[in-house]
Amino acid sequence: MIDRLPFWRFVSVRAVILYFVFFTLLVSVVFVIFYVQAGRELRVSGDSFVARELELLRLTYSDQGLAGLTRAIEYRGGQPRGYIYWLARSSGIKLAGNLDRLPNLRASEALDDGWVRFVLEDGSGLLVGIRGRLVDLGSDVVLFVGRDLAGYDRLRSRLGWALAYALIVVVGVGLVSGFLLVRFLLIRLSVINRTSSAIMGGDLSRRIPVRLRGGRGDEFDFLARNLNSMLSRIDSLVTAHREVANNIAHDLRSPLNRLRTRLTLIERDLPLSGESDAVAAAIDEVDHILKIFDAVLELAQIEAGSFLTPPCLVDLGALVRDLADLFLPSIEAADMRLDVRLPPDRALCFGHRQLLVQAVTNLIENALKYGHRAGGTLTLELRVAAFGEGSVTDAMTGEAILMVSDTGIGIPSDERSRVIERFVRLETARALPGHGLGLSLVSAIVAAHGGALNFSDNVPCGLVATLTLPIRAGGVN
Amino acid sequence: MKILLAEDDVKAATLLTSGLSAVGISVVHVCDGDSGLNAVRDGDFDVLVIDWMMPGCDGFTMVERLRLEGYLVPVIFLTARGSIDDRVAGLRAGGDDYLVKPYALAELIARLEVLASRGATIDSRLLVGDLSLDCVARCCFRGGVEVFLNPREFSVLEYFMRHEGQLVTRSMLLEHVWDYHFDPETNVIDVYISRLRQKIDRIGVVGEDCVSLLRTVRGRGYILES
Repeated sequence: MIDRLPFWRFVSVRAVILYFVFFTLLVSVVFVIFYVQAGRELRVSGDSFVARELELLRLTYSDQGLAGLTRAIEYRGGQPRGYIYWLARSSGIKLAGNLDRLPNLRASEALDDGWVRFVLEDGSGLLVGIRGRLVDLGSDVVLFVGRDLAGYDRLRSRLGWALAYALIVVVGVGLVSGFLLVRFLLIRLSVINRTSSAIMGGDLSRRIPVRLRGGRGDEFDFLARNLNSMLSRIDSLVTAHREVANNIAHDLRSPLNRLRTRLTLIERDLPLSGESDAVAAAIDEVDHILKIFDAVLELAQIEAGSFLTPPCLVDLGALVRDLADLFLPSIEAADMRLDVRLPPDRALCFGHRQLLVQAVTNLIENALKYGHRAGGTLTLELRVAAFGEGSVTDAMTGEAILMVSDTGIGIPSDERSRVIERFVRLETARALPGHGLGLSLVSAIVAAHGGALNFSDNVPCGLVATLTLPIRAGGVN
Repeated sequence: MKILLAEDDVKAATLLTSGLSAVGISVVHVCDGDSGLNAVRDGDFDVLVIDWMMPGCDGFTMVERLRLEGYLVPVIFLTARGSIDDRVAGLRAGGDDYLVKPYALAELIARLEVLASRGATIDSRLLVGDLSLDCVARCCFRGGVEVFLNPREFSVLEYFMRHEGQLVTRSMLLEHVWDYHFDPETNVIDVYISRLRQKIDRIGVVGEDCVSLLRTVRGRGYILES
């Protein structure tokens, strides 16, 4: 049952997905904050270099004057250190430096406190970002010192990529571990579910396996252990209940047997009279009660699945043929026609022949009794549906569909599920003899063979009782 | 006929003994399996009627031991457990026949007689009156005219002819000819037998009736005799 759920309906899947999304978002936010903060730190440290250079040059200017400053700038500008210098008059006439002229700064490029940022085309035509500070040294001299931002940009983009890769790894590890976690949980759960299904299928002796890890186990083992003790309790109650019912039926049989024997002896000794008729009627009543007890005990045995004789391969086609032969005179005597349709392949069902014969007999007798209509037809049809194409030597597995159809009054669709219950007799059937256990027995027999009993409408009227039984078709000799 | 009755229910055994004595069957009654074993070793019985469930050595074990010791005397199991599976289990355990309690006295007597005379007719050609059956060629003649029977009808008639003059009940037919171990709700066997009777009694192109050989015993079964 659980295997048919869509995957998003599993609590574990939803929890893992939710946790995964939340965790990924959180990691992304942390990474973005880190990226922005690191960028700012890089820029501040770059700015502090520029500020120190400016301070150094300002000291040179105050110590050695414009000529000393010009010399220092010419010297420093020749070094490949990534610094940009521009010494000029306030009017913009260049005095020294490795920058020809400061571009006209737009308002957006001017930052606080003389800091500027602009883009410059270098000799090879590449655009280079420059960030620097323009200071007025007084006496109609201005000095700009800036830094080439290429290194900074490269560092920042490297950091960005590193963070992106880290995010991918986090997402990947999250997905894989989430998948493994879900799988682990579902495997543990499906063991419990499979066992429950088997138990619902009637095998009350099954128990959920408990894995003992150092004598403790996890919460699933606790759940399994609790379910197991609950099952043991149910099992013992059901067994006790069944035993009580069986013992009552069984213990009542002995006194009824003796009663019947006594009545038989009385009947034998009585001359033919009204009294002997009464005794014969009493014997019939006792027989009817005993028949009900037998049917109840038979049902109990089949439902418990406790058989003394081992199952064997039963040829369903031969079984239907034999019953058709046995019932043909009865069906014709009831002014009905018998139609038998058998498949060309052999249908072998692994089971109890006697029980299967009993089941099909019950259906045929029901069709005769309740589905009777003069001129009607009783159809026995066996179909074989093989699953998959095995090789010829392989025993193919499949389903046998055995249908017993009549052309009588049928069963209203809302009553169909009721007729297999114990002691249920429909209004239309009350006038006829029976104890209401026949279809319960058929249903129990078919269930014991892993099959199903279903009813449907016949065309144009009547009932189709369909037995579906697992089989091995063809192949087997 | 002399039978051994191994049955722990003394009251039921007493009733049974009186019923069987009335038809001339002598009964030796024991209450448990061990005395049953000793009785069989000492006496000479035609049939053993053994209750499946007895204190001490139960019916199954008792028959198992007797078969091991080489006693081939036919056995009818009596069982209070009437499920189909229980019935078949009795046959698998070495019984020749079984009866589920309660059973009609007539049913037990019919089966006792069939078992006591077992092995009397092993011929492949059977003859009752002017009805003859060839079990090898599987053909049937009535007064020199062939009667066409389907395989199951042939088996039914063969069973009747092998037990000529003996009462054959419906459940005996179902169990021994069809190997069906349950009681049908309808009179399917009666209708089947009347169809068979028509076939063997009304023969020839003109369909003249012969003397009926297959007689119905009301409420009990059938007897085939000339």
